Amino acid sequence: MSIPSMWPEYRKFANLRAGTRTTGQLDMSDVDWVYPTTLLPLTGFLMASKGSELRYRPPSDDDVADYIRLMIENPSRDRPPRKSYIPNNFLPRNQADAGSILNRIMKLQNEGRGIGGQSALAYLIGELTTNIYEHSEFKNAMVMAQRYEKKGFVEITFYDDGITIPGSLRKAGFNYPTDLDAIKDAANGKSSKEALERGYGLGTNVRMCTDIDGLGGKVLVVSGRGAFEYCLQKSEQCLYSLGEGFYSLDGTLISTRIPYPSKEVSVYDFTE
Amino acid sequence: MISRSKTINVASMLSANLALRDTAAKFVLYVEGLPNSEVIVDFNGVRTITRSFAHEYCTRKRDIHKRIREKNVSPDVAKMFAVVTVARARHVSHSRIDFDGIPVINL
Repeated sequence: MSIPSMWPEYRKFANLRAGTRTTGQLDMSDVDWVYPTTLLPLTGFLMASKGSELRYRPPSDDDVADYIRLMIENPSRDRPPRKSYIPNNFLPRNQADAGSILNRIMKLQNEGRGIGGQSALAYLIGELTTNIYEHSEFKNAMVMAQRYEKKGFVEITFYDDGITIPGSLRKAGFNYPTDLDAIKDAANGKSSKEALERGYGLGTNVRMCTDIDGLGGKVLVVSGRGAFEYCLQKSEQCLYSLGEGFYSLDGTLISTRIPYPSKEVSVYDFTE
Repeated sequence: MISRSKTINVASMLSANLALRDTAAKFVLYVEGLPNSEVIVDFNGVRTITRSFAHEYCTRKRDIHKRIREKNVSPDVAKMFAVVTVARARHVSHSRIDFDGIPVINL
């Protein structure tokens, strides 16, 4: 079963956001399904829009409307989790306090069974969350994982409203002609931290999630005015140079779709 | 009287999944502040460790003046310590993601 691209889900967010700019209304009446790739940046956008009297038109389907209300309106860390998803998990300001959230994601995703195993899942969420704390300077950041057993994949999404990957690298003194160039470089190990042993998190996870000897899934990265979607099939790989406004993101979104169930993989095949 | 040696179970104190760099930094800081001259870090119960955690633990541990020993380190955790130690010594270059030839869509 082929895993669908995540770009259309990001585009859905971009369209919804664009609608609010022209009408002053978040119109979700036509939305019949929403994935974390749409939901997390949308939640971030709503948080950034607080106080702007944005009107909200919920999805027509009651179930979808309830789901979105649950995710967006009441992002409590104390709500009892349901079976196959966790609510938007807002990361606490203090990195040391984030451990409990990551442990809860592990628990809700059966400690990684069917998603590459315990080490692979813990590595994925641990490293990408660490990156958020180390580089993004976020005000709001979220992690969400949802299993779609009938669709045959798990979607794990990380979002922050920070300075973006290109912004972080430029702040560290690196120059890039475009944001896309910066993002590609970050995926290949460039880090705003100069020490050795830095800059492995994103690239290692992209390779682990997409490689034929890894999880064979897809990864979408959107940051500032650049984006890429990477997977095994060359024909489905895409790089995006985003103009200011419609598609650009004031922050970073990293989304992965991993086939479910997936065999256990060794993170050490990708960490060298 | 303070005993010379103290044992800390890292899974009980932190988590079975050692993930975040800052957690490692704070843990070693805590160890450094203990009055005991030797600390034994017991990894019994630790199931996973990220590269960031392992790197921060090893780096911070190297810089403090206290004898720290590990015990009950599982093969997987030991592998990650080896990864960061070898990489630190040789700065191993890692495989690259090949973006060549992928079309750029301008939006």
